[in-house]
Amino acid sequence: MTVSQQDLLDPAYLASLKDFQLMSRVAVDGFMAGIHHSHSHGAGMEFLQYRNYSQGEDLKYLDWKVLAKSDKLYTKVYQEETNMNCYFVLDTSASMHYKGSRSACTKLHYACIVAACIAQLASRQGDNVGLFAYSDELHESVETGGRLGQVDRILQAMTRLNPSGEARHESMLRSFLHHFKTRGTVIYISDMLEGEDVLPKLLRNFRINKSDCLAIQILDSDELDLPQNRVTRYLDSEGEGEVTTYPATARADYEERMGTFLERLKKGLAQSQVDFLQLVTTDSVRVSLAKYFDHRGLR
Amino acid sequence: MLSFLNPALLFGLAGLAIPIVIHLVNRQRAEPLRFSSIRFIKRTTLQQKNRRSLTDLSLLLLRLAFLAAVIIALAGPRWEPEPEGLQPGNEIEETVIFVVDASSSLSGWGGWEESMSTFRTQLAAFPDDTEVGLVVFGKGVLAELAPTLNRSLVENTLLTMYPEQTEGVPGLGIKRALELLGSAPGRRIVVLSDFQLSTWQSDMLPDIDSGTRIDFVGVGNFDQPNFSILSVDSFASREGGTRLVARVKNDSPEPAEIPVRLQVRGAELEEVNRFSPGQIQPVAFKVAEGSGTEGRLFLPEDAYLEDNEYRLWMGPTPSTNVLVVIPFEAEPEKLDEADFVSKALSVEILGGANQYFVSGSDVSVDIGALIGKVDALYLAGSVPYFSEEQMEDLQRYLEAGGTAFVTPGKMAAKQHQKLREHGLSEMTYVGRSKSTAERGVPHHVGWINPDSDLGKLFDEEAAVDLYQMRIYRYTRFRAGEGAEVLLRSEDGDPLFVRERIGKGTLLTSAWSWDARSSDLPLRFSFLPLLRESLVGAMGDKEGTIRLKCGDLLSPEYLPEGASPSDSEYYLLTVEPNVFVLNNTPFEVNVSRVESVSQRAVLSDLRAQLFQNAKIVSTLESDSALDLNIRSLWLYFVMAATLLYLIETILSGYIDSRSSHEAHA
Repeated sequence: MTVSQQDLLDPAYLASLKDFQLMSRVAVDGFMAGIHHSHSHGAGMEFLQYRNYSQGEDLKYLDWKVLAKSDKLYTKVYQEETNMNCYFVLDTSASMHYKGSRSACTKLHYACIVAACIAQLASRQGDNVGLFAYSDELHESVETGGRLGQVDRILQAMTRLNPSGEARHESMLRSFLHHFKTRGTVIYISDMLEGEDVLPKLLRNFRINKSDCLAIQILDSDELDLPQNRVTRYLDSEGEGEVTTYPATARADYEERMGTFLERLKKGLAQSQVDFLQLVTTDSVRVSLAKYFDHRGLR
Repeated sequence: MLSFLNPALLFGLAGLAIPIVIHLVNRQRAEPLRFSSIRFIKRTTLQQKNRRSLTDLSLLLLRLAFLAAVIIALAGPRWEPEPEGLQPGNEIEETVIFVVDASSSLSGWGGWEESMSTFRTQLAAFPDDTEVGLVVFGKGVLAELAPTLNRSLVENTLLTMYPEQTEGVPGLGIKRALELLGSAPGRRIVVLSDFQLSTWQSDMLPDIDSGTRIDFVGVGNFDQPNFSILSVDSFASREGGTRLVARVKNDSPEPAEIPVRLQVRGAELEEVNRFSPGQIQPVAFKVAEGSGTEGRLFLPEDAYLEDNEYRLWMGPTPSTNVLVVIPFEAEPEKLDEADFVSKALSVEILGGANQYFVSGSDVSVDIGALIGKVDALYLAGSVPYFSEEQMEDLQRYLEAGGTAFVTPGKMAAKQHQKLREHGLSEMTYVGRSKSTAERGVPHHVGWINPDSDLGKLFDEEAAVDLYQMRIYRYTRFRAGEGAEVLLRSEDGDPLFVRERIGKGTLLTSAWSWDARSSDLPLRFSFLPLLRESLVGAMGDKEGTIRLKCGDLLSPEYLPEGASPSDSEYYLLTVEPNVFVLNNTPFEVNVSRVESVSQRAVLSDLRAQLFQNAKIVSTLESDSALDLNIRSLWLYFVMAATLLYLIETILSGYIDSRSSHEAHA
């Protein structure tokens, strides 16, 4: 079976790959094939300007060509690229385990796909990547680092994730913040359900810490429109509650409430100067990555 | 009275309980679903649930009614009127005409007896003041009585009749009945027939207006087995004597051992064969020469007797004598051509009218002695070797009406010259065409005379083979004015030419008809080309003529001034018969169309009759065929369709209303 590049980014196909390492490489290669010319410019050094040579400077930075032409001594000044820390903070509460009728994978699985792809991209750029996954307790934590195999460690940690428990955003994010010393980028991935009040406040702390923060909300398409046809007993995935309803009757109200929730969340995050990106699990990973790049490009 | 064809299917109604159970179970069971967050989902109120269940109930009832209608339709509901015989119209006084089928098939399968008894019961059922008429039909209208109050006249007229040995033409009977009824109020026709498929479906039925009521009463029982001789062909056998092949059919649902007996001049032969149900099998007999001129084949007695006998002519049939003449000593290779031609002419073609007797001779033949004895001479390159005397004889032979078929040999130039000198041909020899070796490609036929018999025989499809024929070399000649060119080559040279000499015909071919000069003898076209050119030259000679009982003789076989309807000639074909008239043998047998034991679809007949009018009713009869029972399944199908539509509309309405409420 041949797989076209378009198929490579279909979540159904990627979800079937199981191995995050392979999956993220497939997805990133598939994505890059369209937009990137080359991802190996120079050796992490970027030319900035010329400057008069002053005694004692290392001769290796002298521009010999200019010297040969004009007999003047100029030194090339490079700006060294600093390695950036990129932290993935993953919500692995039980609600992330939901997989709707139209999706190919659970929300957590989709979140991992997206995170893996971004990690792969970041790593290729030379950034240090790390992972922090929690629900009611800490599940996985991988320190940032640029060592060989860092991405693999993150991906392996992701494969061990098992969504369970209630999301305790407050305590967990605070403990992470305490832990989070260096500046960098925090990519927070969660469904953010029930978190419209607490999350903007918590994520603001990263901004205060002069870090860049991006909140990616992963939703299942069923959560947007409640497509069930028959009388359904909805059981809360994170609590004891349940509601029996006829979805056709409750749909309009649901959509309205959902809309209000999303509005509040977006508004709260905007006030906290946290970037927000909403992804739906039926979206192609191409769309998700494009959204991500589009978003990063604006900064 | 409602009844069902398949009452067992009604047990399916018990299946109606299934949707009810599902409905009840479904109502109480909500499907559990673990959902990410339930805080946005509103609980549906109880009041809505109740309203919903009310509409649910009407939907359930609709669906149940739909299922019931489908099940009942499948069970084949029928409406049978109370068995009181006839129910004549009460308000309008009726005028009734009985149309009685007296075709040959009625004499079998108990048809006529049943027809009579049914007629009596039907007649008695009408009130005394109802005028009753009668039309009896076979091949034509056999008897008719205008509507009258004299019942005994009608009854006696019918009792004197018996089925003819002819095919039935029901259209004529019904048409006559309509004419007799005219515009009387309460017009009614009662048709008594076995409604044999072959008779009724092949017939053009007249249109009946809606003011006329027609009742079909089926009689006879086609379930009884019947064996029939469908046709018999006889051939002169090569070893002498005659070979007979009879096609016999076992028209019954059981396999049978059928003995076929052949009677020829007192002697009797019998062949017993096993027949599968419905099988048609050839049964062959071999009869020694001189066994007589007439034969009869018999089958054992069965439900229909008329097709158990077949009479056939076994005497000599007119045949065509062809003499093939070749220069055996000078051109022994011509033997091939003679061989091809004589084989082609001696092939027996099944059902073919002409038979050829082919003999051969050397060029020393006495042509003068052949006049009147040999119909055609096939002269394969022999003319150059004929003496002056023989040429004169040939001229006399042709003028007397003979046919000569000339093909070129080694001395083609001399052949043409000789024929010209004796005034037999106007063609002049030009030379020989290039051979295939010189030319690289063979010659082909380029043109077939479309006005000739050949042109008609070799129409578009058949001509392909003739156009593909390869001719390796031919004689080029120029045709004279009186010659009719039948075939031309691609270069426009005449290839095959016909000339009339006196009463006779001279056919000249530009190539010899063997495998050396062309591939014609190996082609499909060979037989038809050879036979057709000979037949066309000699005029039609037919073999035995086969007629059906009741057919009139064609005037061409009668002496001048005689008419086919003269009783002398008319009586010849009334019954199965074998006779010779004007040197042509005739076989007369009962039409085998009447042997078909299958009933026509009466709804089709009605549709045909009432193309512009409505069906009124059918009648009750005691026969096995329940023609009067009205099938109701269609009504149930229509009801089911209607219910389905209502259900669709209602459920659509409920859905739209509930979503509307949800938005509100």
